[in-house]
Formats: sequence, C-alpha cells, structure tokens
Amino acid sequence: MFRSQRLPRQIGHRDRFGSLCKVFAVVWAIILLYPVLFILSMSVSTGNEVNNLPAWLLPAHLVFGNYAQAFKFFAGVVSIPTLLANSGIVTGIAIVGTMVIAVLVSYAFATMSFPGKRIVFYTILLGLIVPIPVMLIPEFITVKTYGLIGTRFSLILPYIAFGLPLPTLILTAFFKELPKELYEAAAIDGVPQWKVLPRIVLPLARPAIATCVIYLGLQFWNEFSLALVVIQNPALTTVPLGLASVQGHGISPWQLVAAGVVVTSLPIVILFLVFQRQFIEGLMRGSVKG
Amino acid sequence: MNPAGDPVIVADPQPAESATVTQRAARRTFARRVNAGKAGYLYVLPALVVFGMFIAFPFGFAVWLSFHSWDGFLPVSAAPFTGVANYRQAFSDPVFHRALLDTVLFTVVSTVAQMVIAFVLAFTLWYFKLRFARALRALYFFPAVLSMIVVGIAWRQLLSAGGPVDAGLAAAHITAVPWLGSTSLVMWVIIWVSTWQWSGWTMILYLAGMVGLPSDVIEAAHLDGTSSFAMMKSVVAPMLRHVTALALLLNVVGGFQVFDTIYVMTGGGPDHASETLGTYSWWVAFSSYGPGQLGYAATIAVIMICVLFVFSYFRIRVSRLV
Repeated sequence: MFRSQRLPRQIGHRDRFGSLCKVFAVVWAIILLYPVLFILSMSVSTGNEVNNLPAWLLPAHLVFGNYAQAFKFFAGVVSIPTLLANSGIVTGIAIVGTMVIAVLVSYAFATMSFPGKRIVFYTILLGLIVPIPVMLIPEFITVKTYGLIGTRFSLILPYIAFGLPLPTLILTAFFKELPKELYEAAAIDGVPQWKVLPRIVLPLARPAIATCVIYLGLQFWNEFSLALVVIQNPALTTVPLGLASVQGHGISPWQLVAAGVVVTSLPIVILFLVFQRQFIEGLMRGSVKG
Repeated sequence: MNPAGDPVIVADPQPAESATVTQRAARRTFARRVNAGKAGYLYVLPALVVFGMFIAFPFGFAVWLSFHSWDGFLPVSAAPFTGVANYRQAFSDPVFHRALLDTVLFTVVSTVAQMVIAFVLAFTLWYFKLRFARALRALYFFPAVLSMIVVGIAWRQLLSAGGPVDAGLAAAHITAVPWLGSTSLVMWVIIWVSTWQWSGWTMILYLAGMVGLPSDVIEAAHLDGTSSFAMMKSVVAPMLRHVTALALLLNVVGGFQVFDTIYVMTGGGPDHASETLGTYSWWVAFSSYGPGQLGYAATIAVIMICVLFVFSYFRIRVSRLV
C-alpha cells in the first residue's frame, strides 16, 4: 500500500541524474568520434590546409588522391602492403602458437593432477603482471642472445610468451566447467586419452577460443614497443612501427600520414565493425571468467 | 558420435558388480592417473619452455645486468661488475625521480578517470536501456581496437599549434596553450589521451558484471522508488566490487607500462616532462640522445617489476579478503 502510493510520484518526478547520464553518454560519443573524423578529414586535405583545419574539420577541397600518393610516399620507407603483410604474418603465427600452447597447458591444469601443478599455474599467471614495455630492455638483450634479431621470431616468440597467461586463465576455467561425465564417457567409449582433447573438448571450447583469439589479435596487431627495439630490418617492419617511423621523419606531409593511418587501420576496423557483437560479447564472457 | 549419452545408460542399470571387477577397475583408474600425471608434464612443457626462455630468463638477465655496467657493445660477459652502483644512480637521478612520480601520477589519475567514466557509461547503457545502446557500446569500445600509435598521432595533430582544438578555442576567445610543449600540462594531456582510448575497455568489464546482476534485486529496488543515482551508488556499485577489484588491477598494471602513447606524442619531452619509467628506461638504453647504459636501463626495469609485484600481491590479497 505504502509502496504503491509512492510509486507514481517517483515515476512522475524528473530523473535529473538519469538525464545527466544520458547527456554524458552523448557527449562521450562525440568526444570519441571527433578525433576519428579528424584523421579522415586530414587524409583528404590539401598539403596547405592539413595543418590549419578548422574546428568543424571540413576541408575546403577534398583530395582523394592522397590515398594513391600515400602508397608511394610510404614506399620510400616501407610499402603499405608490406606493413600489412608483416603484421598479418606475425599476428597470425603468434596467435596460433599461443593458442596451441595455451590449450595444452590449460587442459593439463583442468583435468590432470601431477605434482607441482599449482606452482606451474601461478608461475605462468605471473606473466599477467609483467607487460612487454616493462620488460623491454631485458627482452631485447635476450632475443639478441638467442640470435633471433633480423627474423620474425624476434617478435613471434616473445609475443607467445607474453600472450600465454590470459588464454590460460580463460581456458582453464572453461575446461574445469565441462562436466566430468564427458571425460568418463570418452574413456568408456574407448577414445584414447590423447584424442579426448582434440576430438571432444576442443569443439566444445570454440566460444572460449574465439574470445582468446580476439584478445590476442588486438594485442599482437597493435604491439609497438618490442617491435621498436628488435626490428632493425626495414623489410620486417610492422604497422605500428611503420606509422611511428613515418610520422617521425621531420616535416611529415600529414595528409599522407593520415591516409596511411586510415589504410593500415582498415583491416582491424572492418573486422571490428563486422564482428562487433562477437568482439564485445566475447570479451564480456572472458572478463566474467577472469 | 555421441560419447556423452551412451555410457550413463550403461553404467546405471548395473550397480552390483562383482568385487574382482571393481578392484580391477580401481587398479585401472590408478594406473591411468599415473599415466595422466606423466602426460600432464608433456602438456605443460611447451608453455614452461616459452615462459622460461622469454620471461624468466630475461628477468634473471635483467637482475644480473642491474649489478653490472654495460654499454651494449662489449660482449656481455665482459661487462664489469659494479655492485649496487646502478641502484645508487637511480636513487640520486633527478630524471628517474621525475619519471617515477609521473608514472605514479599517470597510473593513479588515468585509472581513477577510466574507472569512473567506464562505470557511468556502463550504468547508463544498462540501466536506462537507451535506444542505440548496442551501437553506443560498439562506439565506446572502438578506440581500444586502434593502435596507440594511431591514437597518439591523431591527438598530437589535434592539439598542434593552429590545429582544430586551438581553432575552436580561438572561436570561443580563449587563448591557446602549447598543449604538448608545456612541462606542466603535457602529462595531463597524455593522461587524457589514454583515458580517451581505454575507458571503453573497462566499460566492457562493468557491463559484463551488470548483465550478470540478479534482476529481481534491481527490480525490487526500483519498485521501492530508489532514484537512479542511489541505484548506481548504493545498489549496483557495491554488488560489482569484484569487478572494480579486477579493473583496478588491470588498469594499474596497464598504467604502469605506458609507453607507446608517450613515445609517439612527445618522446618523453619537453625536457623529460612526460617521461615515465617505461620511456625513460628505453631512452637510457636506446635513444640516440641517451647515455646508452643498458645496465642502468635494466635496473629501472627491475625496479618497475618489483613495484608491480608488490602492488599485485597486496591487491590480490586484499580483494580476496573482501
């Protein structure tokens, strides 16, 4: 009775905090969009206008030829297709390597018992709190000691090591949740022990694997600091490194740098736009597990 | 192909097996467990090898190097042992102090800012059921898929002299400021750019938490006439304390490693005003203007890792107690 009397007043009462939140949501959206539009507008500006764009960002003349020229300009340092290919190769191999190793180790953590398991588990999780930029100098010296400088493995192998902890955490949690009967059933059905993982467990783990792949893909594709110190052969330059070195070259023709930024960001942006639900919901699932 | 279905039916109708069969089965399980134990090491081995080679070994190398003086040109075995000289240098190096303070400032402010913004955004999307919630969610997350280099380039040009931000300020009759050229402002600009890029990532953590909240509790609070502010502050926030703990840990570790944004926007300048431990150790080791002391750079790395260890240890212990 008391509640039902109060209810109409509360609904009728203007929710000032709610309006404030909604205004903030819109303002934040504009704040996020503005720099993106700015890069797009730089990429179609003339060389004179690019340094003096007005606050509303619309250049007087649209020059789409910047894109064709960016391919040539970047080619002076590194060509855009090479950048994309290098990043693609490194990211792809590092993802596959990380996932294979993470699946194996998580499966062992979740289903097997052996002495020292806990220690190994926590040791690998330690990697979560030592990110690459913190380990930059030691990592460089190590990679050099192993003689990997000048090869793609100078990026791929450290990426695998630093990429391991999170997928291991997510997959171990996932494998532990699978019903025990599944494993018993497999044993009774005569599936050999070593085939249980690839035949029965992996197909079920597809959503968890997708989450890990998204996470690793973003991390590896955008990694910059290690590439900065270990990549000394321009032919192996990755996208972030290429962009940073182009914009560092004295007087940069900014309209071309911007065009290069747009082109090299396109693959991941398109992937994100197409799969944004899977991206975000995958990461949401992952964060609940973590 | 239905391994899950059959055996349950087979196992149930035969509860009474003869003793010998049970014993034999028990022996078989035991044997299998030992086998699985050995196999366990096999499954763990690749991870241990990679971890050992690319995380443990470099860390050990860094600790060793922090007690030596090495310029990177001599063979490392010839690097002279200098005791704690590198550590002493760090404690008397004004740039190191500055970098340490800036790292802490960056970590604290950007963590708090990101978590507040992320929480409000997530709450708004989730509680008010906005019409374009899904599109907004994607937009808020979007900067996190871009490389920090791209974001750094965009903001550097936005804030350049005569750039759009200055033009906008001029239109409002506000005198422009040298955003990245001012030693007192530059760190705040870096904090802003990082907050701009990563708030959406933290928002995902909070959204995941909110979606998992029991709807009857929220409904009941709503029917009780709880205002939306009270709902956020007194109902949702306390229920998401574990998410806050996780976000805090991730953001602090993330904040401590800030590198790319600073490298591309200021290179640590002007006059080391935006130097953090990450960029400073890079500068000490590799910059063509730096001293090229790899031993000292390794010392800075070791100090950073120790700080992260200590923080994470306490953070994890505290959040477990909560």
